[in-house]
Amino acid sequence: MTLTAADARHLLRRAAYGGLDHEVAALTGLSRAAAVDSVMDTAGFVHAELVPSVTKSSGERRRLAHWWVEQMTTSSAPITERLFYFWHSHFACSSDRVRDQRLMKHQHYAFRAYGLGGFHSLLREISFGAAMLIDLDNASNVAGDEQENFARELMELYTIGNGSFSEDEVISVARAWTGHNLDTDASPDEYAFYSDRHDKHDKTLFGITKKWDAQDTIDELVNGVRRDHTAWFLATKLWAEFGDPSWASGPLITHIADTLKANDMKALPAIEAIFLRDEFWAPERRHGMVKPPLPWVVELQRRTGIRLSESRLDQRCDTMGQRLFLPPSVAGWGHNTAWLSGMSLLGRARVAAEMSSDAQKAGFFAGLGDLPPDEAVDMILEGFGVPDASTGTRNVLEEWYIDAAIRDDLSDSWLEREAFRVGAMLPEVNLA
Amino acid sequence: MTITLSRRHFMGGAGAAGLVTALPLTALADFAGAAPPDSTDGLLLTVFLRGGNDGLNTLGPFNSGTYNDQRLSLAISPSSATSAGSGLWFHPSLPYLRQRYLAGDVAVFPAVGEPGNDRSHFSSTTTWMTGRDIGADRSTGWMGRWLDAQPDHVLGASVDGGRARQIRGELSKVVAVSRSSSDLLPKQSQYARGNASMWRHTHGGLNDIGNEFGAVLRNAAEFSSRLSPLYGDGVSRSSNRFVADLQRAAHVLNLGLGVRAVSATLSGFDTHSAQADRHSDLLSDLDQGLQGFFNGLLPALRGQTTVLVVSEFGRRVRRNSSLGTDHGSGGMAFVIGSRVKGGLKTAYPSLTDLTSRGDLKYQTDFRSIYSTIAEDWLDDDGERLLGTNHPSVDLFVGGPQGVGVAGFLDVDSAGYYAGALRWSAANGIVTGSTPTTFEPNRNMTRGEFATVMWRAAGSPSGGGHNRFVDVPTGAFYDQAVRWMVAEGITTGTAPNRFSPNDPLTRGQAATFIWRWRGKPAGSAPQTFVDVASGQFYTAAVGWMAAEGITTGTSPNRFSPHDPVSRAQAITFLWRDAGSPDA
Repeated sequence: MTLTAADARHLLRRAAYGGLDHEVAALTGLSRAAAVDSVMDTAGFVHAELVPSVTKSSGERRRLAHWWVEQMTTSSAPITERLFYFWHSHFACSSDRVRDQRLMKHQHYAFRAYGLGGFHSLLREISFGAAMLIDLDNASNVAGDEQENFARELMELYTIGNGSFSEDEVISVARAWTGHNLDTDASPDEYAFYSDRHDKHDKTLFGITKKWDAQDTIDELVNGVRRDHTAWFLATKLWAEFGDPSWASGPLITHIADTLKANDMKALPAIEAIFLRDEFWAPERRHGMVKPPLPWVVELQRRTGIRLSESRLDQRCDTMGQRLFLPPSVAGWGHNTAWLSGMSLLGRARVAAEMSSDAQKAGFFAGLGDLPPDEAVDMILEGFGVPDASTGTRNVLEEWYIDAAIRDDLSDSWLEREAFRVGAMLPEVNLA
Repeated sequence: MTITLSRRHFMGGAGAAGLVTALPLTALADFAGAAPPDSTDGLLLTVFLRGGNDGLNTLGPFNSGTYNDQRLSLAISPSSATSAGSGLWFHPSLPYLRQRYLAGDVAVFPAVGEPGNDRSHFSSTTTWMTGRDIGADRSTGWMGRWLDAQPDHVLGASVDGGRARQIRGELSKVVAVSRSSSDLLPKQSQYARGNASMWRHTHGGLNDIGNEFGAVLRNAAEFSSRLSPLYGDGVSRSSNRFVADLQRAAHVLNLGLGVRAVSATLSGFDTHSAQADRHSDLLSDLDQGLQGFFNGLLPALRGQTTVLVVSEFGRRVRRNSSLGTDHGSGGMAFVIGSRVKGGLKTAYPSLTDLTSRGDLKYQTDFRSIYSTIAEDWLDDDGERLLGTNHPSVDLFVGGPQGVGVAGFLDVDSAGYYAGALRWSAANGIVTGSTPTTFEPNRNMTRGEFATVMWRAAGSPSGGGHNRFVDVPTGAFYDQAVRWMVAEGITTGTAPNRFSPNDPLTRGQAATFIWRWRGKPAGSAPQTFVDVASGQFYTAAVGWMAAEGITTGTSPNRFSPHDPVSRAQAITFLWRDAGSPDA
């Protein structure tokens, strides 16, 4: 089975930030396996860091976010950036709570350094990282005065999911994590173990009674007695991110979970398994999920070569509800209807309007007014990489064009700008 | 459709108009459902003081040695000019709040809190905004959940950028009314601003989620464009950001777009250091904001509007070494409005009987306030809303009592047409001359009547060729008139004229409705002496009298040649529909 151009676009909407024409052409005609292999190729990924080092101040969050969006826009291995976003939303620490942006940066680099590898190492790095210790309060978790915040989320949000643990186990994990706090004399704060604050007694966890320590909990959750649960939970979340957040089946998740377990709990082979499943290619998956604001922005930047400035990116992402390093809750960002708020969509419209002038100057839709309606529609749809738009979309876009085109008080350049504003808000352009 | 002409060919070219009107018109987002609140619907503005307001320096005690000893240089020096009575004073930056308090319009809860006693801004703010404890689902705010449970046309607005979780629900019912000089619509696009039709093509037909995407976008654009009066000429706004926020909050309520809950935020209350001047400035912002809000609110809405002011916690009794105060408990909440039962709602908290951390002991769980507002002001169930049961507090002298009907302030709520107006507003049949005026006694034009009758018929799409030269494409009555032609309801005032701006006569109104209903036979004896046989309206009036749709202008007169008033017109349609409740 070989990929059609429409298949290639579908794959590139999920594995990358939309397909430019030459990228679509490169995949068209390939076998499914070869095409998936191609988008999963991470050889182009370089673990770059933002230099010079960011400072503590909250303004640096914007700078880091802007840098990351630029990485998304220009990466030659976009699947890696999509995965790093997945990890950020999974371990959803917030600048607002961590306060020190240097620590947010460290955590982000941990995603880059460990996110492509096994989940065990990644979970360890993040859990013992100062950002997490602050964000979920393990910094103040001491024997005799346990803080359960991190213990609960370690299981509920990061590994095995709600319903897979008891309240007693939350307490046991919290006790195992006592004394794993911060050295606040360091600058920035860094992880430190305080033996005198650690609960050295026996604890019972997952049916095992021993002198549990923090590292033991990670070992058992990822590689030990709870490995199946963690694999299932991660498989579910990966499918929601890359496949479909509103539909799944048992055999499908089992297959993804098995792939995780067979590959040292690495995410990339599991994502590859998702892309190779028939369910991924089913008609319901095509444009089946709402593109979050950032992939939408990144795709527009890629198509036009235009960049949002640091401050504008921050303001508009605020309106659209997706400011990096400021997830809405410890559970990260949502899917689909989470993005369908009027405020958020008007934010997109604003971005489109703001980009439209530069896009027009760059020649986007030049000569549109000379075209008969059906060809004008083609030009707009191709400009946004959705030539296979639905008939309904084509018809109403044609209506818009005719309506707009007969107005003699409007200039050609206006028409070209307006086409950008309209096109960027088409359903096909906003759904992945 | 086969069109092969380029833009240039049809710009201004002969036949262009015909070509375009032959296209099926795509219906705009039906935001007609945005019915204005009725005069007994409570409106709520919640102001969140972010950072933890220092209640002790907001409303403090006279002649308290403890206060002076603990607050040291931060102690306010009160005067009789700021007295609140009962041995208390208001901060000198709060003259408006004090004046309303002395008038009995402000309920003060001097020591509010929550059992969790949480000192984290994040966690405590979430608790206050959601009304739910740690461990419960805290993804939605208490006002948001209230909105979720209301009919579709009841909306919320935020004037603080839309980030406050208190008004966030599961449904998209909150519109951000932004600070910027324009709303969120792309300002370059006057075309979009004018009719929000830029995104009408987002109908799609792609798939369910694509359709939902389009619906949300269109509704937001439509609503947003209706906010344009907020930014028009002659709208003066304070240069103070927060005061401007609250002026906009009043304005969005005045517009009568269905907004019943508004969220506002004043940030900066986390005064760990150098508190004195900062706190004074913040309270001054609050005071001016409240004044700007109530002054900006239409007088008719004042009896149905309440303001709640809360903060995530109070502050430590003792001043710290940085000339500020640290996070404490026992915050202060205010409920303000002309229907509020004002005064100090609990005893002022003791400054000596403190918690082990040196904080005021709280006396009122803030959720009792939410619960009472929900039940007594917003017609909801407090326990349903919060998930937990909290005793009520004595907060209101009575329920919301605005003026007018369905948000229209120039109408008689006891008038014969009140039921018709409620029904037609709730069903989007009338939208008023402005959102708050209906002009019941003005003559209805033929174009207006065509439109309301078409809407009463469910705004059917389709419709025939427009043969009237005086019905321009895109006029508000264009679609309606074409539908009437297609249905045989109108033949015009001349073969090529509809005369849309002429007053409609009572005889014409009767005829239109009768033809719409398929020309049913009337059987009642003709009692109107001024309805002669053989007139175009004779059978129609007879049928209307038989059906009880008209009772005439007097027992024996129908006055067929008199213009029909707007109130009469909607009353005919309402009775024709069976006089339904709204």
